[in-house]
Amino acid sequence: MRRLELDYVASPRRQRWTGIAVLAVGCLASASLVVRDRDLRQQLAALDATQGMLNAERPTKALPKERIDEQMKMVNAVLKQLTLPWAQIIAAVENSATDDVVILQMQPEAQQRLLRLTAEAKNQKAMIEYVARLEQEGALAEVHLIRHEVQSEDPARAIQFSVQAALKEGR
Amino acid sequence: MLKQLKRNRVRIALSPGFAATAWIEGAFRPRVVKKQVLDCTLQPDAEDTGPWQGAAALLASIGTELKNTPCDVTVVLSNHFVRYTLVPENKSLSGTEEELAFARYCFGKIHGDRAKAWEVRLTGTASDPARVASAVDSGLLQAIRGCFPAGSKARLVSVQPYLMSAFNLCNEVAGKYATWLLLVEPERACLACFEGGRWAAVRNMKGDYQGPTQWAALLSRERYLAGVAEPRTNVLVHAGPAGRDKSIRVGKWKFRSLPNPTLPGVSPAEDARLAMALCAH
Repeated sequence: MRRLELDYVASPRRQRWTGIAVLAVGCLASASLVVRDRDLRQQLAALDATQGMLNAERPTKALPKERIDEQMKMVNAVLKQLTLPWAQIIAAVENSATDDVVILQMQPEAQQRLLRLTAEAKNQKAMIEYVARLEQEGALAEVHLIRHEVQSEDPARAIQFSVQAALKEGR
Repeated sequence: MLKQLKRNRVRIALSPGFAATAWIEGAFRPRVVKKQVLDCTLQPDAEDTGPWQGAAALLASIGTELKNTPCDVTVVLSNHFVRYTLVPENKSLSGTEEELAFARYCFGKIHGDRAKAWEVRLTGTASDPARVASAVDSGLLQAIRGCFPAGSKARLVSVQPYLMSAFNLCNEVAGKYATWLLLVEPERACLACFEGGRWAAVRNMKGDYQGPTQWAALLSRERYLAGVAEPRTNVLVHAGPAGRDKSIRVGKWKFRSLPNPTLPGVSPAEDARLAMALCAH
C-alpha cells in the first residue's frame, strides 16, 4: 500500500520512483562521464603517440657552418677572456708601481695574449725605470715602450706613455 | 542536509485529555531524551466538533517552552479531532482543487454544514478506486500553527492525523500481514480496512473500545458494512495500555499489536501515552 499523505503542514512526499528515477539518471550521467573521460584519455594518448612519430620522422634542421663557426669563435673568445691570468697581470702591475708613475689605462688583449698599459710619469727617468721594472716581472715578456709624449700643457712637463707586453703562457 | 540531520525532533500527541511530548535526539541512532505528559480537563463536546480548546492551551504552553529550542515539531492529532471518509473514484474531476472540493462535498453529505469549517486533505491519486480523506477543524489548525510562530526556533514541520502516522508505520512494520488496522484511544476507535491494495473502509467511532472483546464485536459489525470477505481476520492494533499484548485471539479475530519503533529512553509499558506521538515519523 502507498503511504497515507494527509499532512496539514508538510507537502506530500514525492513518490519513491521519482527519487529512484533521479538516482538512475545521476548514475547514467556519471557513467557516461566516466566513459567520456576514458575516451578522451585514449584520444590524448593516441595524439601524443602520433606527434612523437611525426617528430621522429622530421629531419633535424642543420645550422649553417658559418653560423657554427661564428658561435665557436664567440665561445672561444669568452673562454680565452675567462682564462686570462688576471691574478698574475694585476700582481705584475702592482709590483712595478712607483710613486712617480700613475697607471691611466690597462687593456689586456685575450686573443693576442697582450697587455697594453697607458701611464703618466713625472719625468723620463721614472718612465724608463717603470718599463725596466715591468720587464723583471715573470708574468710578462717582450715589454716594449711603444709611445711616449711630453704633456706640453702641463707645467710639470709630465710624460704620458704606452707600454705593450706579452702574457706568458702557463702561469 | 547535515543541519537538518542535526536538528532535534519533538513529537507531540494531541488528545482531548492530554498532550504527550517526546524529545528525540540523534540522526542515525535516535533516542528519546525527554518525555512529558500534560493533562487537561475534558470539555463538553455536545456537537462533536472536537473538544480541542484545552489541548490547544497545552500545546501553546509547550510552544512557549520550545520557543528558543531549535527543533522540528511534529503534531499527531488524536482521532477525536479528525474525521475520515472514503472518497469514491470520480473520473470527471480534473486537478487537485476539484478533487478537494469533491472530498469536501463528501464530508458535507455526512456531517452537514459543519464541514465548511474544516480543512480537508486527500491522499492517493485520481486513479485510485477509493481515496482516504481527512477533515480537521480550521480553528484547531490555526491554534496549532499559532503555537509555533515564524520567530520561534521550534519549527512546525508536520501536523498529521493519528491514522496517517499509524498506517504508515503499519505499512513498514507489518507488510502484507494486515487487513484491518484498529487504533484505540480513550472513548474512541478508528478502524481502517484495506485489501488487495485498495481501501475498503475507514470508520472513526466514539465509544468504549478498551478491550479485545469490544474490538471483536466492533469488527464483526464493521465487516458487514465494509463488505469484506470472511477469511480476512488479521487485525493490527495500535493502542495505549490496552494494546500491549503481542497477540490475542478472540473468536475468529486475530489481534496483533502494532509495535512502535524501538527507541532508547522509552518503556512501552510506562510510556503508553507516548505511543501516538512516537508512531509518527
